[in-house]
Formats: sequence, C-alpha cells, structure tokens
Amino acid sequence: MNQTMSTQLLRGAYLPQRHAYVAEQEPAVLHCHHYNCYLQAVLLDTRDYLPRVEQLLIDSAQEVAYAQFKNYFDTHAHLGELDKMQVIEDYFRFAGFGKISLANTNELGGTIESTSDHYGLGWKYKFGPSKQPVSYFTCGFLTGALEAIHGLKCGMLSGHQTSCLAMGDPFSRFVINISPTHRTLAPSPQEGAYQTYQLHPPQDIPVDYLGIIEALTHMPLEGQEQSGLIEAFDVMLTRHYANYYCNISYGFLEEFRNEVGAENHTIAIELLTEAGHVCAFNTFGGIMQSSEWNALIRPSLKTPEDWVHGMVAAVNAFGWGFWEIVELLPNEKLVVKIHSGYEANAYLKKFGSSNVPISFLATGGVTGLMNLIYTLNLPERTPLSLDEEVYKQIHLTPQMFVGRQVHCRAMGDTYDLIEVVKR
Amino acid sequence: MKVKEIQDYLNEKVSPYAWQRVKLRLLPHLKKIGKYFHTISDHDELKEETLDIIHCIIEDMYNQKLNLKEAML
Amino acid sequence: MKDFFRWTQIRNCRKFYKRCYTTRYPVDSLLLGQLEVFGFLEIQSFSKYSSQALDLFKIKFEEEVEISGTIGFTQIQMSISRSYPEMVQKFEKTLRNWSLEK
Repeated sequence: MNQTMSTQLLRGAYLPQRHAYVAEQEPAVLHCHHYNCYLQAVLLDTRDYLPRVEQLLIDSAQEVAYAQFKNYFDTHAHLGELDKMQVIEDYFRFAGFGKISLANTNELGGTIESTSDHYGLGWKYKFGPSKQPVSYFTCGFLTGALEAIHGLKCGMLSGHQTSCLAMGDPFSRFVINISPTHRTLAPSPQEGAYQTYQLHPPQDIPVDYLGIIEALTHMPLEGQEQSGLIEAFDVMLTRHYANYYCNISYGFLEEFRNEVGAENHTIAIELLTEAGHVCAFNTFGGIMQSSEWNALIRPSLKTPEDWVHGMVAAVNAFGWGFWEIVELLPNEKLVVKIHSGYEANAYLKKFGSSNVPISFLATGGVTGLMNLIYTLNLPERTPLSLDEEVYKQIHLTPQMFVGRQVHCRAMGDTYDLIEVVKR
Repeated sequence: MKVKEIQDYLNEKVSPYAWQRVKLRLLPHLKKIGKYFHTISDHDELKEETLDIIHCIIEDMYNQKLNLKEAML
Repeated sequence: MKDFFRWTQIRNCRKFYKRCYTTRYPVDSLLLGQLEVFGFLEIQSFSKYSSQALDLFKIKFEEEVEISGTIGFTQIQMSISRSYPEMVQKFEKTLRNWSLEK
C-alpha cells in the first residue's frame, strides 16, 4: 500500500499564468485559522434567524470535497477503496486540515475521530472553549469524500459532529449516515471564471517580485506528519478550498438578504470584510516577522513602502490571483489592482453578476496591510506580539486606514480595484 | 444607555467590531422592539432587557463577563 | 552589543515558548553545527531564486523544537514546546558559547 501511495498523492500544481493552486479543478488558497474561524463565527452569529447557515457550512465543504475527489478517482480508476481512503487522509493532512482515519467507514457512512482538527483547535486557540461543535468544514469534507470513494451521488450521505476539540473533548467525532431526506447539493464552481494574466512587477523599487513568488511557491508548506497542521508564521495555515469560502460567504449573504432585506446587508458586508482585515493582521503580520521574510524579502527592504511591496509580492504566491500596486502614497493611500482574484472567479461562475462589490477578503486584506505598516509601524517595531491588544490599538487610532472596492469583476469590470485611505 | 455609548465601549474594551457582531445576533430581539439594522440610530436608548441580552451575547462570544452599566460610570 | 544576545518574547504562541533573538554576530556555519543537537537541519536556498535573498535555516525536532533564522543575519527565532522549558536554557548556552568562540 505504501508503494501505491508514493505514486498516488493528490497535490495539484501552482499555475503561474493564473496565480492559482489547482488540485483536480479545485483552486486552493492559503488562509490562516484566524480568518477561517472569524469568518465562520460571523456566519454563526445569525443562526438564530438563519437556521440554514450551519448546514450551509457543512454542505459547502461536502460539495467541494466531493467534486475534487470524484474527479481524481474518475481519472485514477485503478485505485482500490483503501488506496482512495489514503489519498483523502493524505490530502487532508497536506492541506493542514488535521489528521483523520477513514478506517471505520464504508458506503453507508461511519464514525471518524480526530485528535487534531484545524477548526476544532483553531477555534479554541482563537476564541477559547466553545459550547457547541465547530468543525462544520471537517464534517462536510468527510461526508463528501466518503461519497466520492464509494461512487455515491453528492448529498446521499449526511454528517454531523458529536464531540469537538473546541469544546474540550479529547477528540472531534463525526458521524456520517445515509441522508434521511433526499438532498441534491449544488455542483462546485470548480475553477471558476478565472483570468490568465501577466504580472507587471514595478521597476523602480528594490523588491524582486518574481524571485519572491518563485521562492514562496516552491516552499514545502504542508501539514506535519503527527498533527496534520501547518504551523507557520505564528498561525495555523491551511491550503483551503477557494470555493468553500465563496460558497459560505456568498451563500450566507444571499440568505441574509432574503431574510433580513437587502437594505440591511451593510452590517454583513462590514463583517465579511473585517474577516479579511483580521486575516491580514495575523497572517501578513506573522509573515512579515518570520524567518522566511527575514531571509527572502527583508534584505532588500529599506523603506516602509518597500515593506508594502514585499508583502504584495508575497500575496501573489497565496493563490489569491495577481496583486499589483497601482498607487502607493506613503502613510496616505494604497490602490491595488487584482486580476483573477479567487473571490470574483467563484462568484462569477456560481452566482453570475452582482450589483455590489464582493471582494471582501481582498478589501480587508489590503486595508490590513496599510494598518500593519503605517498605523502599527510594524517595520520599526518588529518583533512584536500580534495579539488582541495590539489589534485594538489599530482600531483605536483615529486615523486608521479603511478600504473600499472601487472596481469589481463581478460588477462587470475587468479587474478588482481596492483603494485604502485614512478614515 | 445609548447605542453609541455601548458601541464605543464594546469596540474599545472587548474587541474591534464587537458591536457589529452583537448587533448581528441581536436582530430577533431588535425586531421585537420594532427596530432593524437600518433604523437603529446612535441616539437610541436601549432598555434593561436589551442590555441583559447583550451581556449574555458577550459572555458567549468572548467568554467575558461585563457589567455595562457599571462600566459606563 | 554588550550581551551575547537580546531576546523578545512573542506572546501569541499557543503551544510554545517563542522568542526572537538578536545575536551579536551574523549566523554562520559554526553556529548551525552547534545547533544541530536540537534537531534536523534544513536549509532553504532562497538565494537561488533571488539575488537579493539570503538562505534560511531551520532546525526541527518533531513538533517540539523549531529554531530558524537567516544565514548571514543576526536574528534567530526559537519555538520550544512548553513541555521542555529546560531547552530554552540549553539553547541560550549554545548561543553564548558560540559568541565566545567567535
């Protein structure tokens, strides 16, 4: 079996002409536990009046995992059941989702326990103990993966979680059964309406964009053998499904508008954007203080503006599309143009056009970058513990940076454009 | 206690955007008292019952016990 | 620098004591050799991708110890599992001895 495994790993590849990691038609993006958990927490804040939101979290994972593994198994028809299980266990670890064993499962479902699950541990680290299970993604992933192994239709199985690391249990337990009701889940938007593009690195600055992207996309970032977690840059990273984020964010927004009214959606949009800001603070902040940064990027940096460029160069290796700085006025303004952003790619394919901007992560991310560099003055203060107190300092600064999306592909533009200025 | 006072207090002392998250959870209650996200204003006065609910939400969300009334003094 | 090194504690680390050290001298092969007692040494040759970049080193032992830094630079990050606090002293002793040997 080990011999089979050595040739049957599902990894995908980085596609430089799209700035995307794609594994069996599912784009993967790098994201940390702060973003994963905060975004989920915002959605769960509405569960009293949007009862479908919890199922949305599970179903979205089920759809993407099913689509990915079905594709893979269709093209690797010689794989036996045990081989397929190992492919899935291995991919789960590789992507930083944790450690699982599918040994106690079959075509009727089964029980899976994990002592190391990204969402369960990430939630506890970020928010403290939870009163309810939180690993909706893991639950849906496992359900979709089992359907793919056994050649079932997506939606024939359904899963729920009965214990959770975030609740202080010694393991997270997932129970998967034949679905009691007939369910048809939506197909994954897969690669979405992506764009091919050529990055235009700025010529008049010392940051070597292309070298940085090349180095970072070759870094061996994958879950550790024992824990299945990617502990890097002081966060727990994942190679997450771009389509999962889009399904849950935009699916949630749609539900929210239907229930609460479109005139009330500003609060939801603010919080989805804030999730991006939280992400930037923690992940960008962690990266800009890491040994990787010190070796690869920092030697060429002289000014705070170089730091902004250095981070934007690095973002181009996250699978988030092509990020280019259009305008940078020191401590005043940043404008970033994005081609093939993963949010627009998925939105356009799955939801069509939008009458409001939808690149929430990108807007929060670009804003967060300016706040790290100028409001917090990270280049002068590193090494610094980026904790909740420091995050509050940023928000208590009267002139912190705020962002807005000026152009949006989902609204018909050819690229996304994010503008960040002081409030 | 006015909405603005609570908003500033939560966002400063608990967590940035804490008020927005609280408000998101408060919706069913807000509807009961005839309010909506877009109709609630900074100068609206929140009654004891609403403050009690906010306390519960903060405890659940951030594992923090607050006494808003004392905190405002 | 009067001392052999300075350090800052990074507070937001969950399972580890994490400290960022500034050393008196840039990290060199002599120090890497001495640090290898803490785990397995990996070098990431970033310099092959960008002429401006330096190379990264990482010394890891399972999920208990990670020491990383830049060869030719004066900063080292150290994460040691909270189960092994005595390793912090050993690490600092190594830094001290290396500085004296230089």
